[in-house]
Amino acid sequence: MISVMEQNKNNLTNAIRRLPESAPDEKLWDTIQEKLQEGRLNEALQRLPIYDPGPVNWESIAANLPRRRSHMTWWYAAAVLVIAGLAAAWMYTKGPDHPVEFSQEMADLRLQSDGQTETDLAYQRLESYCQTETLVCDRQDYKRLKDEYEKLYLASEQLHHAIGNYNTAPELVRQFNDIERQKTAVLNEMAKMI
Amino acid sequence: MKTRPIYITKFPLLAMLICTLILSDLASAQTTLQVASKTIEKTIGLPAIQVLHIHAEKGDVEIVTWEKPEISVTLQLSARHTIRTTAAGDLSKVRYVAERSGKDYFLRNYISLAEGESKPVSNIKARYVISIPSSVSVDLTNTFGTIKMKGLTKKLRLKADFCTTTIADIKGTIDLQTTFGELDGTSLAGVTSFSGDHTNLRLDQISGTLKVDASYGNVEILPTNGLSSLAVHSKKTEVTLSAKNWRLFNYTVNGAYTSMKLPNGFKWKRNTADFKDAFFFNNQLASVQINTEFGKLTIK
Repeated sequence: MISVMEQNKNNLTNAIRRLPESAPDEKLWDTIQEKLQEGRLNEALQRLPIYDPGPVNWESIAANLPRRRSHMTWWYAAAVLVIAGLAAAWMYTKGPDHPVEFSQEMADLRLQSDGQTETDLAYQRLESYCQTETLVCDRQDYKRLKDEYEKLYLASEQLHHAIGNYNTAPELVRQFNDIERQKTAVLNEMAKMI
Repeated sequence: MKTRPIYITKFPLLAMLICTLILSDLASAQTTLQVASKTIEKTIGLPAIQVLHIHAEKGDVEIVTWEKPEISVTLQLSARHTIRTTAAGDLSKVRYVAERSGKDYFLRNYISLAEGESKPVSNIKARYVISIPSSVSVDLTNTFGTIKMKGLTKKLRLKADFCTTTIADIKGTIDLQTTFGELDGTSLAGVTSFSGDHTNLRLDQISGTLKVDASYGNVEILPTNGLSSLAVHSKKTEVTLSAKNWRLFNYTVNGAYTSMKLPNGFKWKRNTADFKDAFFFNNQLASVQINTEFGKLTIK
């Protein structure tokens, strides 16, 4: 009977020896250790007293929080404003697009400028005379007439440019003719003195 | 064979020749212009504008009043040339301003040239057609154009060079400054002042106070019984004062180197060839004072 039991024991021992051996993962022990420490930590935490922080602490914490996100938001907002401003300025300077229309008009050639007039040529003759004869030309009343003629000449020059080559306004030509008449009257007074 | 008289056979030829000559003459007096234009329309609502400023160049400006509280502006800018592309190119050099600044509104047309860009060779014009409430003051400057204005009651300041100006039914403070051109005013009431150089001025149906300072040109004034005071200072100007009843005013007249034509009843203080001083006093509240140099004065 004993020998059978020993036989079985030997068989069992041999079978156990033939079982494959395998070592546990290296991390296993670390994990078990951490679990054990966590358990102790939790137990210690449970025993810790509880305190509520005052408002000063929260403000201090809030002041020290990183502000990167808010800074970026402001930059984005500023960029959008600048772009919108530039777009508005461009639109403003450009103005709304008004379509160009085309039509035709008949222009009367009699309304166009004649250029230099006979009156101005006559005035130039008086001027050349005054370069040699100064007795009359130095008189105050002659100089006054000369100033008046030159003022009228400047006015007729301005009108000449305003009338240009494609004028359609008879009013400007009427003014031009009126000034020419005044120039003639002044020129006649000057000529009488000479 | 029956022969027709020579005038019958030749008549159609003669008629054709005459027509050809007339048509060719008409054609030679005209040329076709290409007109490029663009039109800007604005309506300016509340808050109400108090002063409308217009700075026009070669502008035809027409301002009328209406009952609406808003201002309506139609501005047409145009360029005329025989070549269409030139007209269009020159039109692009014409700019305008139409903007509000508080209770003021500014309108302006002008030429703007980019660097290296040549001046326009086309005939450039701006035409403003504006409707405003009568209580809006107007400050208008224009050159080489026409001005028509009617119905304003607040304040008008006008500066016109080489312009043909017609204003009517204006009340309030009226300040008119012109060089060259013509100004025709009808039914002006309030405080009116005119300063003109080489301008032909005609003011009809004038009441209130009027001050005229004119050099060269003609001045013709036709007052109503509502004239309270008139002061004229002129140089080298032909001044004519025509009243329905000239005796309704007191007069003081001084002339240097001026020829005078006064109604019977004036008394002379001095009447020499060069200097003339006269007056007429009829216990009237309204007074007329005229000082002239080198011109003509007629009161009738």
